[in-house]
Amino acid sequence: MGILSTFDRIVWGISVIVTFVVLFIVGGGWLLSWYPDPIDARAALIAQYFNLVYIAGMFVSALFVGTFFYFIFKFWDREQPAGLD
Amino acid sequence: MDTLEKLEWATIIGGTVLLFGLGALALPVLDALDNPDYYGEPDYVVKVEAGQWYWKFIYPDGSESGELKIKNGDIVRLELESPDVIHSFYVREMGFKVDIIPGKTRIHVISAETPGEYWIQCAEFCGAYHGGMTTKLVIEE
Repeated sequence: MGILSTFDRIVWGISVIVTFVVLFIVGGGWLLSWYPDPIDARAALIAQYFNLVYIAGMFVSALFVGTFFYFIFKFWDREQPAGLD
Repeated sequence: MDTLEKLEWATIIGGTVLLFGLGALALPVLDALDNPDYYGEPDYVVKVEAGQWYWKFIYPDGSESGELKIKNGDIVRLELESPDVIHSFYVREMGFKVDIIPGKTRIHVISAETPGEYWIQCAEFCGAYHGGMTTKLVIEE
């Protein structure tokens, strides 16, 4: 099983997926729907590439940010007092 | 190989594939943007003068207008010049910007494929009325 238990994997996976969904919504929804429709072949090619970079960038961001949240969930010592109290 | 090593390799290989993959896929897009022959031989040339703060389009017959009017199906070679400061020719729906630098003639070929009216905007801050430096691209049926 290594250093990750099944529970760890589930928490990590859910962190990444939830982060991806949040970034997706914040980033403008399905394939930059707010951007105007391309009106020629070259514009369509450019839009297609932008969409690809958008999805790939969001995936990588979700992986990193989701992993960060997973670390917080895993190593957060709930017995320590939080804040300044 | 333990889990940490697997994760490490997955990150290295995944990141490399993603970077080089996106880089390779960008090449045809860069070619489409920079290659003046992308659409083949142009039907005619329109000279574009961008100044503070106006657009002037000069057609092959010598006529001038403040809006760019072309016919659907035309392949038009734009020759863009500026007499004063840097401007930028920007049509959002066409997905490109061309910086127009004083003293140089920038070449850009456009293809009219979808009739309609679209905004042309200056996309480089060029002075007090930069925000008002807009006009229309009219693609006629």
